[in-house]
Amino acid sequence: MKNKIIKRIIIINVLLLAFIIVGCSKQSVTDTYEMLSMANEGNAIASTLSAEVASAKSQHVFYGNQYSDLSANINKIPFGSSAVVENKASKVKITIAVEDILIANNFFDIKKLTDETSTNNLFNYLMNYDNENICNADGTINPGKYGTDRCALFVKLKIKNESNVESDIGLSALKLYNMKNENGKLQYSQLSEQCNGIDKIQNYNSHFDFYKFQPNETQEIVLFFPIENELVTEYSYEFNGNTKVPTNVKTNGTSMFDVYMNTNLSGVTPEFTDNMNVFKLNIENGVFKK
Amino acid sequence: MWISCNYGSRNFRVGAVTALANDYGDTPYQFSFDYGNTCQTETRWKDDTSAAFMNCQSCDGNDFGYTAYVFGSWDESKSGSVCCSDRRSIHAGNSYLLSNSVYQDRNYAYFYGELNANDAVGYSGLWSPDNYECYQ
Repeated sequence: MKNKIIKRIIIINVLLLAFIIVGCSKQSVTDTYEMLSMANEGNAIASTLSAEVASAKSQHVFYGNQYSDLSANINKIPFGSSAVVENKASKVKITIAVEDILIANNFFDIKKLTDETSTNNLFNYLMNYDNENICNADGTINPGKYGTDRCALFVKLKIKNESNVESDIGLSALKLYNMKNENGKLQYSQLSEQCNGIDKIQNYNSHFDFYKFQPNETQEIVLFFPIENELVTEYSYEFNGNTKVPTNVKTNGTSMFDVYMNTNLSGVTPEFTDNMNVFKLNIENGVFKK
Repeated sequence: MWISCNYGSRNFRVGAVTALANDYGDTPYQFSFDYGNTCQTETRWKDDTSAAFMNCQSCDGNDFGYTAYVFGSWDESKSGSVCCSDRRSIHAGNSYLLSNSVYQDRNYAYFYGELNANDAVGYSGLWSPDNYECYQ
């Protein structure tokens, strides 16, 4: 009899322990999100994603290319016109004009805008030093983060260093945006990340960041942006091991609705500030018209 | 612990490990601290779990340093932002790698900075959401 009571007590304790363990496990997802929320308020944290959280997030649908209201009072610069851009931190001024645009399916089409040596230098950088796997050896462009087809967008600029000193200009900070008017309000949506390379690339054995201009030097420079052909409106992802794989990607028409290039050389937010010169690229509905 | 490492054609000090920092091209940043404001870089897509890279090249005043965190967001406009790293004090002339969980938790990464003093100081340099040798 005594043994039976002891057995029952042991069984009850084991069951209680099991309930406690299950309860803690269920709570772990919520705990992780609470930790992240705390971190958002400034607390330092390095969270580790559990398989449970990864599974939950794979069901989350994200919306790409969302438009935001543009509150800054920007200056739209027509295609072909020039405008002065100041780096607010270094006070260096440069004059920029957009000279030409090319939308292509092959990287080597850049030869229509620049010389052979510059083409080979940039291609060498993309193939051997930038490991983003943008191009293949035949110049075709690989799919990007959404897994959808991409094209090459080349923007040819004429840039003059207006200062009397040698100046490093952060051309890789230049980004492309779509803009539209919605109910009388100007809205923007980011089209590209930072420029992925320039034809006059310097020090490409290390990486691409600044371009060094001599005092009062003028250069024609071609920027290279890989762009999704179609506008991605929804996407999600699943973890295949530790790798994200895009799933449920939905697209709707061309990605290049009405394209502009901003001049936020500081690389910090806000992306647009009052009186910023923003260049219209004359690309509407995926077609460039000079 | 700080040790030297080769970064492309240049030498930088990187915390704790030897790393060829920089992956998909670095992006310039300029933080202008002005008596209490905070500064944030723009966002960049996070492609892997490697540590984020920040090379602070110059400071235009007293180098109090600034405290940097790596934040993650769902999209370019920083929706759903959360802090995904420990803090690190950044000073001019040094490079840093910050471990973070942006790849696991969000899509885009950006740096957030707070000056370590109540003053007006500007810092500039380069950053990247990842690093070449995939140091974690």
